[in-house]
Amino acid sequence: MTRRSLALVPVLSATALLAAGCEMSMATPPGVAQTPPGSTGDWVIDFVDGTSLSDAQALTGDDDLTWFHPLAADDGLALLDAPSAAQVARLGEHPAVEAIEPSGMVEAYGFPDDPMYDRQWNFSTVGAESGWRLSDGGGVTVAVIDTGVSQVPDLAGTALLEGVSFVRGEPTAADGNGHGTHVAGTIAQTTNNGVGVAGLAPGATILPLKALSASGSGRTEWVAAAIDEAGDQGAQIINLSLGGPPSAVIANAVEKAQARGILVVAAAGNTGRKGVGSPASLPGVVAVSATGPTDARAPYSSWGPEVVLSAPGGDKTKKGGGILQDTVSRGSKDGHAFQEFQGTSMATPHVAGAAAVIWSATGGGAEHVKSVLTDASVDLGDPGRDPVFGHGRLDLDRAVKQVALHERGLAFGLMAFLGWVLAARFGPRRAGFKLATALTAGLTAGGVFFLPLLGGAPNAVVQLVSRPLLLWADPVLGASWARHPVLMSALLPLLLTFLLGPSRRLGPIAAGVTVGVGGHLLYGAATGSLSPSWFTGGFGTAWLAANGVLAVLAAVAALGVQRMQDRDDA
Amino acid sequence: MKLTGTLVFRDLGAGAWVLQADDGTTYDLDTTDVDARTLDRSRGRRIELTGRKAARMGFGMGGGQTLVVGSVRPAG
Repeated sequence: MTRRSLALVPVLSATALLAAGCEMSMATPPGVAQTPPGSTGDWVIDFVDGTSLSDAQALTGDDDLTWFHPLAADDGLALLDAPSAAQVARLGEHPAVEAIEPSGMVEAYGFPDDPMYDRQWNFSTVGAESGWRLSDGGGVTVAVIDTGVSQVPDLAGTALLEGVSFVRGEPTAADGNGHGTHVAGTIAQTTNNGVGVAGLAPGATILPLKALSASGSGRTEWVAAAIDEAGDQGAQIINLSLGGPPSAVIANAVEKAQARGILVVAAAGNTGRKGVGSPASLPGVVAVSATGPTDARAPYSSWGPEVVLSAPGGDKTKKGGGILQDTVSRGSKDGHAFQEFQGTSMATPHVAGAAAVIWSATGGGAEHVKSVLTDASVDLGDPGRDPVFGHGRLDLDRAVKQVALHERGLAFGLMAFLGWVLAARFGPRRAGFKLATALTAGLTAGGVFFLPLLGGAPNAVVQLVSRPLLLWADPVLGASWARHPVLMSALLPLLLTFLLGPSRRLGPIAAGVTVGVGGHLLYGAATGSLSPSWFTGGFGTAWLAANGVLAVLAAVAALGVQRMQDRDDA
Repeated sequence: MKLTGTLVFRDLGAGAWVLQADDGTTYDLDTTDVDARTLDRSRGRRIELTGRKAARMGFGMGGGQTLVVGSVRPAG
């Protein structure tokens, strides 16, 4: 379901309900064989293997009969459109027919339906399924600075920007090695598409920036230029599954990217001993060490005081212990293969993907996302932060709970309280008014916050309604609107106040939405969790704060109008 | 420079090559200019390589000095 089509959810839901009602009440035309609810209306016939098409057509009396798929010819599988009951009975008795039954729809019993998902132990470890219930990473761009990214079949549904190559002699960002595509797969492999494997943030956008050649090596200036390009193209997160000697040029590029609000995630290194490599060891970079299937440090993983988080990087000394993704493969007939890799290179995109999920769900920014992931990590090794595991091993399940309860739930409670207080102070003495205002304010600021915690298959509706209203822009209108200042302003509250404020029935709703938006703007200004585009530094904070105050004043005005109307009516 | 040692394949990422030189140093290798089949044939064997030291980034991240390899041939 694309993000824009979410806007049609209420219409489609109503249409689906109507259609279901129509289906249940519509009688089967006389003479046509009955099919149970949920079936497609066609009947599938399983002829004896080797039955010729002409024989099958003669048996059914249908000259247009054909095998439903070219590969089904040997097995004799065909579809018959709305046969008569007598025809079904006759065919069922014929020795050339092994079976005849209504064609029905089958449903996946679990999410995701990627057939090799059960081999991705790493995603179970980090709680990927909880992450998917919260967000798919939509609206967030992750720059993969690596050997390039090629759109292998299991990246077909993933948003892949046109990449840039900084590698001399390799003009395109196509992956001639396999490393970069594998990394991109951990972040955003197309998920629940019935193919291959899954990715942590399948709704994220990948920006391929090639800075390593097909042999896996690259010059420091290539990497630095790629980091600059990531910032120029508006990436929120940079994944650096690479390392080398300290470089001032790269250090400057990283510092500039961080000043632009980008979260930089890098691999700690594969020496197997103490000593985090560069650029992971640079200040502010999220350095990632690697764990294996038992949560032990992977034998190849570097470690040191700079490590911020650990994540599954694979351990191929254990059967099935690698990280499995779809990637390019020169040795394969069709150029790609599902391969298990290991390395701190593989651990790093787990953090980048998780960061995309949290950024999408909360509006970012970099420090906020980092603190959510570090606070929610599982403390392994020595208590507290340690050189092997950093703050702990990545855990999206706990991060989701933190966002849902500590952030959204708290926002719900605070704004509901504010809505109640304002309604009591300025609003009418009408039964239910304070409650309606309080509930609306809470839902506006916190969303139906507990929904992602209830389990069940992830779906876009839950992802949407569990968000605060201010974070609806991306899934409903598209990524370009995600941080638009007009949508992070008092405009909507003022419009609501003007249009609906005087309405007796909708007045409390308008007031509640206005309180919720105003409160969230003020919270965003105070914590840095909202960052409108167009502005840099303090201007963004000032914009949020000013609009927050304006919105709250508009709510007071709306409440006051309601009280005056009640007095007039009295 | 010319070095002799054992060409080792490290199963990290998509695969990385290192030279365990006779002097006891382990070098990360930038093999951009070497045919992949030559490397595969020499895997685990003693080789003589020509190359130069350079600062390189890579996904092997073995922590060693990187050599940009010019040629590889079996060691005598």
